Amino acid sequence: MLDIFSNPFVAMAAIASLLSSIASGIMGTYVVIKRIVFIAGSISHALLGGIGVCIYLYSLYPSPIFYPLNGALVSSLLAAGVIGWVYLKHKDREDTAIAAIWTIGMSVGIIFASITPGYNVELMNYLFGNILWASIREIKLLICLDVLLLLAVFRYRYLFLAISYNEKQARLNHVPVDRLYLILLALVAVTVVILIQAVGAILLIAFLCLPAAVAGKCTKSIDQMMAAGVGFCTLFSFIGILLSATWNIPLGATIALVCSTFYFILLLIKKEP
Amino acid sequence: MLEIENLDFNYLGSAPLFENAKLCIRPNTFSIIIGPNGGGKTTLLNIIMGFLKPSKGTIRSSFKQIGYVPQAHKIDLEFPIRLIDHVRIGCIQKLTWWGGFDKKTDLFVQQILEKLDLWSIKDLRLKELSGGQLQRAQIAHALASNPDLLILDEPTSNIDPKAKKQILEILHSLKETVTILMVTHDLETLLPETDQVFLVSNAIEPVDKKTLCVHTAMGLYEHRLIQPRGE
Repeated sequence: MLDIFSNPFVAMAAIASLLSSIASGIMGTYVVIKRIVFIAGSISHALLGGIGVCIYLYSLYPSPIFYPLNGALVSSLLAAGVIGWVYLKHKDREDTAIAAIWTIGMSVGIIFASITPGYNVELMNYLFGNILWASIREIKLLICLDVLLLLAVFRYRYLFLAISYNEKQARLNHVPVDRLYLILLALVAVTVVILIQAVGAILLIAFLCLPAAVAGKCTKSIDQMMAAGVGFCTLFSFIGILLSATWNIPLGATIALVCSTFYFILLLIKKEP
Repeated sequence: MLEIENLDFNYLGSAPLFENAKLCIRPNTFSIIIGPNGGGKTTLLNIIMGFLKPSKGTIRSSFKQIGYVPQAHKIDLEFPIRLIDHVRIGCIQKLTWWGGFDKKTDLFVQQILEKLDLWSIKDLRLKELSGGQLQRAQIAHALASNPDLLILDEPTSNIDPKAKKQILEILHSLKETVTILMVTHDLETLLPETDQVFLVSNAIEPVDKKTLCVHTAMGLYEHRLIQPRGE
């Protein structure tokens, strides 16, 4: 069964999955404990707007400035900034703002893709992803992302912990809660931009919340949760790759289903007292 | 010293909660706030801590650092944090440039945990603690910031009498170094040690301790602790 990893596409997918799992385990932990799963979902769909605009502009003015990745980065950071501002200034409207940004991003993306001359599959690739087609460039970007996240988490681990646990107590301890929250959202946005190229928006949400949620059920601290999150994410990906190759079914959807299945099994097994 | 004068406050679209209210907390005193649910106790604490802005009035405070112990039900027990990390983030101001804590801070954390009889269970998750241990953990977190004003919101609710006694002993031992302001319903337990009592029921009303003792014993204050003033 493991012979399938000798296939260069599957091997590349395995490497991309492993590198994505590191980023997902780290940022997923914060996404879960800070309960910002829908913010991550909103950002991952909002960036489709930036991609759509860039695809359109590139068709008119073929310049590296209009590469889809640039549009994705700008729109995701913009979405993170707006959501962060709404959270900090108008907390009661947060869920509506998240939904609005989610919708605006997707709508802008679809409209611009539709007016772009020729048939365009790029936007669909970002939505559903195809980890089997992970390129060397994407692998390099994933390595850079993992290094960035490891450094950021090492420096900010207690500060992120403080704002995630109790904002009120953090503010009384003179922690710059607003600034740190925006930094956290910016890191989520960058993670989403890099990961979405490899895994797509749908699998990305599964990657960012389910392995970390499973890890949170069986660990005692944030550090353990991150390590276990990386482990579970890698495990789910490899099981997904094996099942996908064996049954010849779409890889991204298979991994997402493996993640969800493990999560619900754990919920049933590990009942709270 | 904390002085509040001419305080007006109302939530958007609601009737005024406080009108022309005043309050004075002297340093190194043990003050308690009593009152019915919905009377404005937690709102008052939030105003003192700066989380709510009054529509009118002045608040003067000489306290530099406030430690806060929230109500037990507001603590997220599912949050994956060990007791020792919970106390560590209390002294987050002592964070080093590399994002960790030095040995001096670790020793300080150990001393707090030992003082509150929590050192032996430092690696447990918050959800693994008993009600009394959880409240002591909250106090340890608050003390880790070296506060000069410690605000506690019903720290003795929903815990057994033995744990309650232990928490009260800890609070009384702190009185020499920290000013304590506590919302509580445990009048009989606290009265001998209390310096000031305020009845917060859509107003802030200082209550004479001796009178309160007599009235509590006679059950005369019970209706004031159930129903907000004016209802």
